[in-house]
Amino acid sequence: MNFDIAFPQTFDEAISANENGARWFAGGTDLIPLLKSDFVHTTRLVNLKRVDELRGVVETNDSVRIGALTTLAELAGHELIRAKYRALAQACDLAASPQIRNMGTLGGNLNQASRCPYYRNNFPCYLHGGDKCFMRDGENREAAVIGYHDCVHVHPSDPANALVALDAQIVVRGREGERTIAAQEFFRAPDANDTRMNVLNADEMITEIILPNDSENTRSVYVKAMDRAVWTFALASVAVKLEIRERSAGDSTRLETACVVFGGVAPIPYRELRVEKMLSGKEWNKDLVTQGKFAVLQDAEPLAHNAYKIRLARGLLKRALRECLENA
Amino acid sequence: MPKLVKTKVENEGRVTEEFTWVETPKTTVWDVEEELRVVGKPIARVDGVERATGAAKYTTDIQLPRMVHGKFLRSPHPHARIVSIDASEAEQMPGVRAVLHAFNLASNRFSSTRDFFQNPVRFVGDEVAAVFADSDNLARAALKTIRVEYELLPYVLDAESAAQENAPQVTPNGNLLDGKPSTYTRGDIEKGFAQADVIVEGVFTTNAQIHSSLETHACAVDWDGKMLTVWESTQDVEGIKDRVARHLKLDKTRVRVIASYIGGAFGAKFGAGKYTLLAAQTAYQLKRPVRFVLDRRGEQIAAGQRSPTKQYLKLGAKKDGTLTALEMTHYTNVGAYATWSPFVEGPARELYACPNLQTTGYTVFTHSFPFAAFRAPGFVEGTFALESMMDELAHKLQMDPLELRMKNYSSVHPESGKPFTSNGLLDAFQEGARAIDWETKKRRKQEDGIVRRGVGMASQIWYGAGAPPAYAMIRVNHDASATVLTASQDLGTGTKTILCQIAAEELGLPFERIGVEIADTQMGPFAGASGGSMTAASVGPAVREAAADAREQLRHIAATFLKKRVKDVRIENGIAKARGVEKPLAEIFRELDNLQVVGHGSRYPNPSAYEIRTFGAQFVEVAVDVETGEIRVERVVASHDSGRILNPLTVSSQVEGGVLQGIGFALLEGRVVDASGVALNANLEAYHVPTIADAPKIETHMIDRADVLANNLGVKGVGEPPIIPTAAAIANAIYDAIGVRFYDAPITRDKVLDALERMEIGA
Amino acid sequence: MTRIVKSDERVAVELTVNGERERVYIEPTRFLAEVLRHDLALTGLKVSCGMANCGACTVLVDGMPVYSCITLALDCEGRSITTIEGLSQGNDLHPVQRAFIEHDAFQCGFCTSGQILSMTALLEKNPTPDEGELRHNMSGNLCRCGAYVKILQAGMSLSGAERGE
Repeated sequence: MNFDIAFPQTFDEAISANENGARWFAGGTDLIPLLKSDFVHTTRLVNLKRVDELRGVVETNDSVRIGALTTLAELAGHELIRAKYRALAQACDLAASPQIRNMGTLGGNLNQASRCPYYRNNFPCYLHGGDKCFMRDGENREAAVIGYHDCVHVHPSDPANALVALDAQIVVRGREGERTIAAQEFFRAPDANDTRMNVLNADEMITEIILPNDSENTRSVYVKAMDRAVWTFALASVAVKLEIRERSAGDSTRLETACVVFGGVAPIPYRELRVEKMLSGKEWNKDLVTQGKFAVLQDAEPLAHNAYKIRLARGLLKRALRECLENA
Repeated sequence: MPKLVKTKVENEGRVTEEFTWVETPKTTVWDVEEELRVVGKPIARVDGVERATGAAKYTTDIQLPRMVHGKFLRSPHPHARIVSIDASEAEQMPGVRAVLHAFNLASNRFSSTRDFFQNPVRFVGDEVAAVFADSDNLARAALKTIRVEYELLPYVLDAESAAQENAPQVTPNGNLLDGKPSTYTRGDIEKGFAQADVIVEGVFTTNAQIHSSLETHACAVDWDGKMLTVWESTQDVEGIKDRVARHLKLDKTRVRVIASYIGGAFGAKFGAGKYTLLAAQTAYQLKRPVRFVLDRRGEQIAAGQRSPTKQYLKLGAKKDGTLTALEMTHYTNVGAYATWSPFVEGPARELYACPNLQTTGYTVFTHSFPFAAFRAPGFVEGTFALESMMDELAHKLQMDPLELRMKNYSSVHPESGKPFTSNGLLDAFQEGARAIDWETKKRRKQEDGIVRRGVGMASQIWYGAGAPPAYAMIRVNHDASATVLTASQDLGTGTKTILCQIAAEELGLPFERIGVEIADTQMGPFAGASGGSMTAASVGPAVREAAADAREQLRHIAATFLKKRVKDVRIENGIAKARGVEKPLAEIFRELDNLQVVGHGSRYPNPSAYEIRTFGAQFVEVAVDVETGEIRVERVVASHDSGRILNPLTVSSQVEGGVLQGIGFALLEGRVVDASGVALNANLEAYHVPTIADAPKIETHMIDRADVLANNLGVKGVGEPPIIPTAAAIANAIYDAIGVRFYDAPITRDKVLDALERMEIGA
Repeated sequence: MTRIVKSDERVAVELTVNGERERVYIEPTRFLAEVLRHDLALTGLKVSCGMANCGACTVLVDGMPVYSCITLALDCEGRSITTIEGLSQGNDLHPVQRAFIEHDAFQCGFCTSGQILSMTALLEKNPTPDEGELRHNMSGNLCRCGAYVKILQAGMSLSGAERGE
């Protein structure tokens, strides 16, 4: 480890301080262990903590804007987020540990590196610039079952799934200026030619996350399955956003639209369009959960040791729907 | 007059002979009904303040001026010949004080089976070189410059494969410890199975469990030209002293070993490590203090583990449940360097009165990770299989699993035929069954909801007799307070506290007036290693003897002062009393100025006509979510017989800790090894030790009855028993909940979900 | 202007540690855990994994539990740091320390300073946690000895919820 630290105070300073090989530095909960592990190197950390423009949660007429430096703990405990974007608050609260949530930022979380054990053990895999994925035919219990290309890792972020389900926009800024990307378009499955896990360019940083101002009929939930009760990455998880309405007085309640996003099953937050379609327009009651077939992840191509994730995903979806029913 | 005695010592089933120097006993055993003032009370730890304020100094806290820091370079290959090592760049870095490896070490021999730097290396993590430098970071940087040329050799990671004839050779003497399997037979196994009405068979596997002590293996060494002082996070200060003295060819009196506070051990911290001896020789040569702390990865791959096992079990029984035959074969993967084998067949051989029995144990060398004792080595693994199989047998016989166990209860030791000094197994069954309401819960119909509950139980047998040699002294200080002196260790079990309680009880002093100095070879007499649940029952009796010796002297002194006959003087709560007169000891001592009294005590041999064992049973309730495969252990009732309970507060801590590690073994913990031999989860992120959110309700129900034949305290060990039955009890409860038996520990989500899918349960 | 501290530069950093102002001279790659343990000899916090995976290095920065093993010391300029040594006032132990001793909420004690600081921070924020909140907020501190049951008891004994407040 041998790096300078730059302390910019504004966006512009930050962007000009990000010279060759520099890294954005916010909570550091992922980057510092990576640097200590000695397979990620940098010449400079651009410390964003003093850039005040990156902080805070602001409600506007048609949206809620979250500064990228907002910590996971702040979001998990934020009243407005808990009330209106429950899935996001829950995803933040289920991520890592209290100390990491105190330190780690939303922006950093979305831009964290892979937790693939082969990557973390410095096997010369695609993510390290190599020409092989070691997990595919190796210890692949934690690997993706769907939506992968050459590299079968899964995206480790919890909030990412919630943000896709909540139809968030991610604002990024770099030398070329600012652009806004739908959360769903932000993440990408690494392949042999391009190993990035998202569409950020090296000079770009996440500045803001924008959540649409949803109607009062919207509810969301995030459910996560782990190897132990807490403080592990998801074996699988699901973020669900539902719009539920009484069509007219006396009529039964209906599920207008559903957005279902699975985590831990793909290199990206995996949107399950078929199930969404199946759910939309259905009567909203217990029978929907107990009698529904939920043929999730039908196109999955599981590896030797991870087919369990399909059944797990289905179980989590049902639990999520049940939770939405109970919290009505 | 004291006499020299040679006696058999049993530790974790291994028997050795030891000399001990015993005086005429001054104590008789405290009776079962004896009214005790301090012993048996839930007293908070004597060193609680140090532990809660950060004042406690652990080995890794030792910082000395001009300290040099050691670090290992480890092999990336499971089996490879080192062709050459180029360390020239490291050697030339300013601040690098020494670079050691197989080609430049004057004496490369570490132990009977191991070199400091093995060539060929035999697992991914084997030590290849060591750097000593002025800072940790510098040592790390220097390591990176060392160029090693390897010639890759064929390797074998799995025990059963390594036991095959054409397997790659791990050691020059082959791949089996002692060159052959260890076998044990009693009765006639074939006849036994012929007599059986019902036979059950199963193949079980248990994964590695890694100690993961939060303080990694570590030492700090300082050589002042006369005395070599070693701080070491160890369970055995005397063992380290011996080893270091021998290595440096120093007289033993010139080596001092200190382990005041130890940040977790669990069996992995016996004896000097390579790092200890290399640090000692470097400190000796450089005449500078040396610190050598394993990093987390080194700890997880090279400091030992509970070895993975594969166990084949076959049980035969009569319709009424009487066992007629038990056959067991195990393959235990001990890595490349083990010198002994975990006693995996122990529970099968000792727990039940089965007349026909045969065990075959293959202790197999592989190019995998080294074995070290881990809290009840062998018995945790063996009990998981045996007690799961017993549960299966009970179900096949349509018998209550508890009744099956009672049916096969052995009132004498099934191998030797000797009686036990005490055996509280039936009491533990009764107490545990009552506490969990077994009668009601076992009859509960299998649930069919999403979350299904079940109850299960398992039994435990283990050693923990304590043994000589162990010596103690009591120093009564100038203010009539007293200090216990003994070179034992407190691993966090509360040893210091119980020793103070024993001394206070026997001396007639208030608990607060007793101090203790342990884990320093310069302060106290020999007391042996802390392991095998041996400490309380080894050192405790010696402390009581020493206290009795001191008390007699105090009575003599007080008699002179009170002008009474010695036999009329007693000491109560620090006050010397005799008919009608009394005087606080502190006042007597004030008048006598620098008077000091020292009492001596030693541990007597155990009675040879008996076997000493600890017993217990655990009852567990689990909830299984059949949609998500989540298993939650909701409640554990742990009922154990460890003789007299010296301190119910610290004993319940031991029980809870054992159960938690048992839960880890059952559900969470396992090593993930790639086919290349690399451990993929050699860290505390991907290796899952239980968190506070995984902790169930744990209820401790000790059968608190003095074992009056065992020793003068009536105490047996308690450190290891509580980890032994947990995993089987959990697996049995899961079976009760969903009707699926799991043969492979840990029982992780993927296994549960795959089984639910296979059995078409739930969703 | 963007301040840049060079990798080989040793700069003065002022920290408030347990109420005392301290000035240390450090390179940018130094971590708070090392600076506290080595430069300031506050060895109550422990470094066990160095990778934010265990919690033994937990300290409070402006009252908030963080892992000091991955916190850059330079980033703590001007902030207030509490270590276990700062909890007790002379011989008067902090109530959380007392509860840990009374309930035997430790065994080897290596994780204890982190446990106590996490619980202290929680009780500052929420004086009436229930058992679930204790579990949730204490889950970033591993205890390999398994003192969790006792830690929960210690926590509940301090919780106003337990006392009916």
